[in-house]
This record gives sequence, C-alpha cells and structure tokens, in this order.
Amino acid sequence: MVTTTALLGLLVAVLVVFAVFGAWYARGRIETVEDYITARNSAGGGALTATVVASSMGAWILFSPAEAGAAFGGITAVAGYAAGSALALAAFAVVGPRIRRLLPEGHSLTEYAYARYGPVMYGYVLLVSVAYMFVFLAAEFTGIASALSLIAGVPGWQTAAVVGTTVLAYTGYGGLRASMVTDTVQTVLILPLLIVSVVVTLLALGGTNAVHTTIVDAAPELLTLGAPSGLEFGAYVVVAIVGAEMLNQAWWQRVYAASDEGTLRRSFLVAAVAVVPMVFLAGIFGPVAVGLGLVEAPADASVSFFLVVTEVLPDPAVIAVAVLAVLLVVSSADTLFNAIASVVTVDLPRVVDLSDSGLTAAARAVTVVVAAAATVVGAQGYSVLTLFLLADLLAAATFVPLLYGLYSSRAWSGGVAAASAAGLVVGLAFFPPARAVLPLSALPAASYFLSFIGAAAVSTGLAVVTARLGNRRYDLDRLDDDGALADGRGGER
Amino acid sequence: MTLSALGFAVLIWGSLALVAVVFLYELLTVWRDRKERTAGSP
Repeated sequence: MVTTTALLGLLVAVLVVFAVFGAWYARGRIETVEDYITARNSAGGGALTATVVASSMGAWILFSPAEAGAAFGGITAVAGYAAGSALALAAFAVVGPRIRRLLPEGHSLTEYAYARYGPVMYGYVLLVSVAYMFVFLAAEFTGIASALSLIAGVPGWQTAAVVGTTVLAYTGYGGLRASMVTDTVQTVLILPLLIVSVVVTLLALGGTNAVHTTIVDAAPELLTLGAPSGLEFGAYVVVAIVGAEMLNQAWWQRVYAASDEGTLRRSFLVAAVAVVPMVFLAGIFGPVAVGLGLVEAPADASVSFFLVVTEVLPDPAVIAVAVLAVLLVVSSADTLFNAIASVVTVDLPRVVDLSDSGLTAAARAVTVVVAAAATVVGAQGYSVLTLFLLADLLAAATFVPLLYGLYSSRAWSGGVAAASAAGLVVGLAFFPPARAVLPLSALPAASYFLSFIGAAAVSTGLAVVTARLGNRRYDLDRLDDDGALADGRGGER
Repeated sequence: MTLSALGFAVLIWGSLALVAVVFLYELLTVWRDRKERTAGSP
C-alpha cells in the first residue's frame, strides 16, 4: 500500500520541479501583456504539438473514457470519445488559419465575437467560454483529488492545495510562455508513462488474450462493435466535445502562438492523431474493470482506471500512475489558468484604462483568483458531471453560429443570437437533468442524444436561414480593424 | 459483432505503437526546433 506521506512528498517534489523550471524559463521573457497571454508567433512545431497534446490531455482521460467504456456502451462509446476529442483538435487545423488570416492581431474568441457580432453575442460567448473552462478546471482538481485519495488516502484538500499552489506559482509568474514550456516536458513524460502504465497492467493481467477473455466472460456487450447505446453516446459526445473545445480559449491562444500557419495545421493534426490511441488505451480500463468485477456501484465506473491499477499493479507502478495523473492535471490546469486570465484581460481595456504593466498585473491577479477558486471547489469532491454537461450544452448551441461568421459575410448578430438561443431552448427541453424542473412531460422522453444533437442542429439551421433571410453583408476584411477598436488597439494605429 | 481476441490485441498494441510514434515525432521535432534556434542565434 502506497502511504499518504510518500505520495504527497513525491507529488510536491514533482510539482516544485515544474514550478521552478517554468518560472526560470519565463524569467526576463515577460515584458508586456502580449508575452503573458499570447506569446504570438513564438512556438515551433515541437513546442506547439507538445502544448496542444498536454493541454488537451487532462486527468479526464483517466476518468471519462473508462467510465464511457464501463457504463455507456463499451468500446463503441470509447471510440466516440476518441473521435470527439480528435475532431475538436482537427477542426482547429481548419479554423485556426482562418482566424489568423482574418484577425492577425487578435487574442481571444471573445474579442472575435465582439468584433464580428457586437456586445450581446460577446457577453454570451464570454459567459459560456469561462463557464466551460472553469468547470473543466474544477473537474480536473476534483478528479486528481479523488484519484490520490483512492490510491493512498491523500485528503482531497491537500492534493488540491498542493497542485493549485505550485501551478499558480509558475503560471502566475510566467503566463502562457511558462505554461507552454512546461507542457513540452510534461508531454515527453506523459506519453511514455502512459505506455508503461498500460503495458505493465496488461502483463499483470496475463496479456491481451487473457484480458479479452475476462471481459467477454463478464460483459461481452462491452466489446460489441456498433452497440446502439455506444453509438448514441458516441454521437452526442462528439457534438459535446467539439462544441465545447471550439469555445476553449486555450486553443485560440495556441492558434496565435504558432510560428506560422503550416506549424499550426501540422501540430493540431498530430495532436488529433495522438489523442485517439490515448483515449482508447485509457478507455479500455472501463471494460477491464467490469470484467474483473471491480465496478460494483454506478459511481465506480468513473474511477475504473484506478480500480484496475490499484488491484493488479505493485506499489512502484501505482506510484508511476499517480505521477502520470498529476502530470495530466498540471498540464491542463496551467493552460486553463492562463486561458481564463487571458480572456478576461483582453477585454479589460474596453471598460478600464490600464497601462500595459497594469494589464499584466490584472492578468496575474485573475490567475490567482481562478487558481484559488479551482482549489477550493476541487477540494470539495463535488460531482461536476451535470455542470459539465450543461456547459457542453451551452457550447453545442453556440459554436456553429459563432464560427459561421468566420466564413459567411451574411451572418449577423441578431440572427446568430436567435439561432443560439433557439438551439439552447431545444437542447434544454431534452436535457435529462432539466426535466426535473421544467414542465415538459408532453415532449418525447429526454435524452442527452436528442439534447445535444437538437441543440447543434437547430442552432446551425437557424444561423444559416437567418443569414439568408437577413440579407446583410459584413466585410470580413474589416474584422481585424473592428477587433482593434474593440480591444483598445485602435487608438495606437 | 463482438470484437475478437485478435482484433482486441491489434487495437491495444496498435494504439500503443501509435502513441510511441507520436512520442518519437515529438522528441525529433523538439530537437529540430532547438537546433534551428541555436543555428539562428548570433
């Protein structure tokens, strides 16, 4: 049994090394708020691929895919998870260059929303984006707290406090540059650690044939290709993940951080390819846990990965898995700290007159607030699943109308706002948790499938229809000028 | 249709191999970036 003190000591040691490295790298490199939140055109292929892989691979890959594999449709559901995660990144290989071309001096998705659609859509996108990123962050903290509690009985508040403080130390000081350089090291550690964790677990279980037999004997449906429940889950999770990730400021920051368009495209595509096997490998732990009889209650499904690991692996291997989990959390937490700080900071010049150093200080202050809030929420051990799904639903109803404006000169603010609102209404009408509070019993049964597909389909259809009917024209070439006016850059030109 | 033992093995080992390839690609790209940066600096 791994002791609490030993694991906590190792956790502190690993995190302090990253904090010192991130702060050391950023020393002397943060002269303006641009350096802190944008790191424009600074990342080559290696750094960009690494930061995209590390930022996308949070501790969630050790929880959600395995839960999907155990409880939502087996291998088919895991495939849906992998497809959704990959498609979201691949989409940025297409949308990213377009964003850079139309808004070459931009910083954030909210800045784009304001410039293209005005204050109403801006406010809505800001709300949805920050809500999604904060829930993601809180889920990461909650996840690592529960994992280390399961492995060695580490109290949740201690895990959350150590992770929150150390990540804040280097992200608060070094911003995006510190986040990206530590992501490179984290990726180089995460990939082999994942390989070793899976191989050692497979060997401990007797190889792939023995694992296959274990699953087929206990729950053959979990290895059924194209299982209806898995297909349904896969379909809506693709929409949920793609929608949410398109509103994740972390990717917009990395779109601008890329050294050029070719690097941007290649890095996001490589990351999309990398995500698929990683999600599969983590997801297979769900059916394995069911096969071994470790999933006794529905809540156990989400910790399938750790149930298997603690059941079959020796202590040193369990510690390696714990380090993997911590690296995964840290790599996405630093990204989200800075992403939330940047989305708020970029918009500050619109409401207050601050110097560049004042803006950098404000970005650091927001990072401190976000870190403190994530630490406190993460230590509580709340179930954030419903909040996560709600944030995903908001994004599913918003992302197509929002991005449509990058391609259509006819899209207009009232049309896309109405499309998003209508999509959200449809989504909520079929959102299972909403049925408990909304008097909608006359409608067909609620399901996440209908909710997410309905939200995305209605918002997409209405965005197109209102654009056609509105007969308005927006010159996309003036987007950067409007962005400059929106974020206060206009005065400098 | 249930995934066969062979299909399962291919899925697992194929995924592991792909992660390993990405890892090597990452190492190579970081090394190349670093070399270019060093060559470009005065």
